[in-house]
Amino acid sequence: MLHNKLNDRIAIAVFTLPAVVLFTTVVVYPVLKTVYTSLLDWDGLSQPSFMMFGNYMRLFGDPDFHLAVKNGLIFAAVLVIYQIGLGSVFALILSNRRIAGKRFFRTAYFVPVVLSITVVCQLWLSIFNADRGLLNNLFHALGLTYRQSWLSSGKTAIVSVAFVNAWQYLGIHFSLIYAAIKSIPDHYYEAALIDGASSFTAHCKITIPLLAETYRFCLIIAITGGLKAFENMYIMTGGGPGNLTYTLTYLIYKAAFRMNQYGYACASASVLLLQCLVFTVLINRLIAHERVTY
Amino acid sequence: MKGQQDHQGYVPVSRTAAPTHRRGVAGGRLRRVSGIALYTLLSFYAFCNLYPLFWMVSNSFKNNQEIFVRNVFGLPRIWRFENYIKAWQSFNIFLYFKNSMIVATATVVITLMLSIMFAYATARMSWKLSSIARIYMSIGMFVPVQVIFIPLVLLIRDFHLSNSYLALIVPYVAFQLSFCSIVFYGFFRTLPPELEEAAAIDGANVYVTFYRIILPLVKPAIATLAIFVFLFSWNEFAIALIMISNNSLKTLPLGLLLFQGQFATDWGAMGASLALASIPTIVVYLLFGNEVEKALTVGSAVKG
Amino acid sequence: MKRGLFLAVTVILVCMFTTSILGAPEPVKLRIYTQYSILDEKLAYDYAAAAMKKIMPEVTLDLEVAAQDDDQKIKTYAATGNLPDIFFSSPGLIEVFKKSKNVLLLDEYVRELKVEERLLPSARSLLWDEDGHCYGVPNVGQWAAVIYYNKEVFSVNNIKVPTNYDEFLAAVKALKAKEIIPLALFAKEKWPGVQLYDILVTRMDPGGLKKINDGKGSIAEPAYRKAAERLVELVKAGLVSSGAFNTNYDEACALFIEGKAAMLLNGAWAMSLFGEQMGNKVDLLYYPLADSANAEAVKWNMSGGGLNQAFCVSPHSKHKDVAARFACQFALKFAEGRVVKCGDPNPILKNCPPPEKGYLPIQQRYVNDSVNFKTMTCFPWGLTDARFKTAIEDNVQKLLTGEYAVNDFIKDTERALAR
Repeated sequence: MLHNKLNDRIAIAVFTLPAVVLFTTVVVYPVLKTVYTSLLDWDGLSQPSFMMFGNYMRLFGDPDFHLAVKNGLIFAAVLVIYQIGLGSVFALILSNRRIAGKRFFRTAYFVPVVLSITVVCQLWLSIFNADRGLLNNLFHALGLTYRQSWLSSGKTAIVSVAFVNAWQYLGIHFSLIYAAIKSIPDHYYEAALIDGASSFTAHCKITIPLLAETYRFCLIIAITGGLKAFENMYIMTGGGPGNLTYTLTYLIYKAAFRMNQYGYACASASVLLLQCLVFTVLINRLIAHERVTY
Repeated sequence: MKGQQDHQGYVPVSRTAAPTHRRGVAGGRLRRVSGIALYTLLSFYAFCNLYPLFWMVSNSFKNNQEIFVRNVFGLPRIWRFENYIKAWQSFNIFLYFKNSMIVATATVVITLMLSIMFAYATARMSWKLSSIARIYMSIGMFVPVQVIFIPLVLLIRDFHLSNSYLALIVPYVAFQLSFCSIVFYGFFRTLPPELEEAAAIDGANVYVTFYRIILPLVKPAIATLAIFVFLFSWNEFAIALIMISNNSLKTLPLGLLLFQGQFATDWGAMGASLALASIPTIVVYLLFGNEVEKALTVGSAVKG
Repeated sequence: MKRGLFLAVTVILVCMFTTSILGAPEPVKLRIYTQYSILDEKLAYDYAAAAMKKIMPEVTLDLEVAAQDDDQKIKTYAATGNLPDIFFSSPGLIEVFKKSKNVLLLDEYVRELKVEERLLPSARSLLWDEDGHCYGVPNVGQWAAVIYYNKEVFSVNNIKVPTNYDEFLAAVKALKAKEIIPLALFAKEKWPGVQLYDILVTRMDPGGLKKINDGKGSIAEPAYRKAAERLVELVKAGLVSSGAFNTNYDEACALFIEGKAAMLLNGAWAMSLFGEQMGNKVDLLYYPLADSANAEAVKWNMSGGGLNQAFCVSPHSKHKDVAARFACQFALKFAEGRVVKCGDPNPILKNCPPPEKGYLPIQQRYVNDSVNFKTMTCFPWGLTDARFKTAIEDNVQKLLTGEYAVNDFIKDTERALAR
């Protein structure tokens, strides 16, 4: 028995240590340094001076910060709704055996993921273009007067940018959910279908609860992805107009590289980290923890 | 329902539209209508997703005026092959391809190995700190790289990895570990616990069980994640920009900088290079995607 | 015989040894970090590199192409003690590096090489920082910001080319009515909006935004308020398209070249592009944005100028002296290359050879006009106060949306400066 326990411990160490050691040195150690730096008044280059929570006080009073947090949450919400919602719908439809051309659809839905983010953002810039864009032309052609400056109005800008990210990476969530559905043994639904349930109820009652584990990581991926979104803003709006599409990551970038306030940047980074950590713990709590197996 | 016997199943929809014992002829017509609606929807979305591919390729034959004003969405009217010639000449494409390929392949292999082992231990072995370890590992998902540039560069320098492929591979692996561990964890949790018990009764130790029994069952996840990690390291720009100063080690995204001047950018030539750079990602996706498909069919057969 | 041979060999060896010490200096390899992406950048760099091969043949250059990354990379290099020997730099970067001792003082090298004597009097101020020292030798001239306009668009649509603010406003409205974008502004980048605002300010106060940057003025002064009000008025009249915030440089240029936009705000460096693509259709407007009463008086108070870019040297370089001497002369040759190869109409050098291909008509016009320039401000990257620069960039962009009150603009900018 004792021998067994020791064996287990060794096995756990063998399995986890390489990853943990690498991760701790390359990711966690710099993160801790970042948290420490958030207590400094520092431009990143000269002699730093210690200032305790000065950066945080300033941060909480900064209107850009409030907007950035709000935008981050909106961004995350768009990703969750679009990617997990639509991803599930497509995965459920295409996991149905009777659908022809599955292979084609699955490949097509993944194509944007494969493309460089620059290409996708440039394309959507053209589509959203207020004067010559496809979207406004479409509304025009349909006889609607619903023309919008999608990326420059306070109401639509952040949602439009988030949508582009959601659209591009839908394929990731789709393929994860699809793989999970495919690994549910067929006899589960067959039983339900024979009992006369429609495939819709069968999915609601059987498939979706069985996907709890998958939804857990999809949620974590979507929410943290939204909170720390950066590249879409960088390519499409530059955080603008003004500060309208700032997120925390953008605030960090601005403080660190445009304003040379490295300590301040690290304070926003620490807030971002904390925010993501809270969400991860919450998701882990909320989604049932008992083991789902087939 | 009719397709039940046909386990390998791509049954064309027309054959299965036959009425079932519960629904009458009217139900069949309804199904046909909703079937058409469904296919229209699926195809429309597929079109939207394939269009960027077309757009990227056609842009690579245009000049700035056509890309932005004259002909934004359509096929080029004049095919400017000179973009490709420019891309070829000012862009050491073989070198960049080679570097990107080495970095991406190494990143995929190491990341998958480390994360699958870690995820296995947290998902299927019982130990006190396992859930804390798992959350700890997920921190990497939400670190914005921009803030850790400076400590990261110092770290790489102190380990004497600067100006080698490892200057990219090590951070890439470390950052991707989080994502992969989370996904593998989810997959491991869905395997029945009896698997190991049966193996233990047969006298296999934990390593053999892991290698022989567990690994083959998560092949779909392995293939899926291989694609993601490959795509990440192929397209990654921020870390590569900071880490690499030696021209002979530059990866593709860094090469694209050659088209972006202080003010102006040559979008046509950049488009041509982007189009060329996307070929391997598409190939990798098709290859591994195929593996995912095969693995999925085998996997459900084993469990079903 | 043997003895003779031995003697001969010894003599040769000694000669080689002494020449290597006294004559030919040891070969040095210098890392240089600068822009080398589009044609103009390459032409000037190659010209300077070739010229330097003759002046300092012992130096070979190891070029690293710079990214358009808000100086992320060069700052990280500095933070991690890995600065290249020579790097291009703007005033904002020099300001940070000055404080953190990451840029070499070039005073004695500049004196030794008589750099100042080789510059035109108008360009000498570019050499010296506010603190009286030299941190980098300018490698390109002082440009002004100009409004380019498409003569054909104005004449075809029967719109008067404006000479003052009221006419400008009328022209904007008329163009807008014809569904032509009055002014193509690539406001995805932050600086063109700031430049437009600076132009409006300089119609009333020649100090422009630089005055605030240097701590000699306040955003609450009437000139700045009035300029902001006018900017909003113009925006509401349809001056820029609502897609301007997502319009990049190349897109704005394309719109202008294609005649979809009547005017374009840019630096004078874009002249060769428009001159080549549009020939006689394009011309320059010197800011018709002043009240009609003093339009002529303020015409030559220019917006733009200042130090655009210089080559700096790392104080940690192993070959500090070589790098410093090289960088100083390389910068001058680079500036020469900009004139000879790219046809820049604003040389900073005395005795500069003329452009190889001669001037285009539009460039010739600028050359003739530039003798009239009375005052200059600077481009936004010449603003050295990072807090002010960031605040004004973001806030002017908000003004351009037309949804931001002038009072808030003044208040927010003041608050950013107070911190």
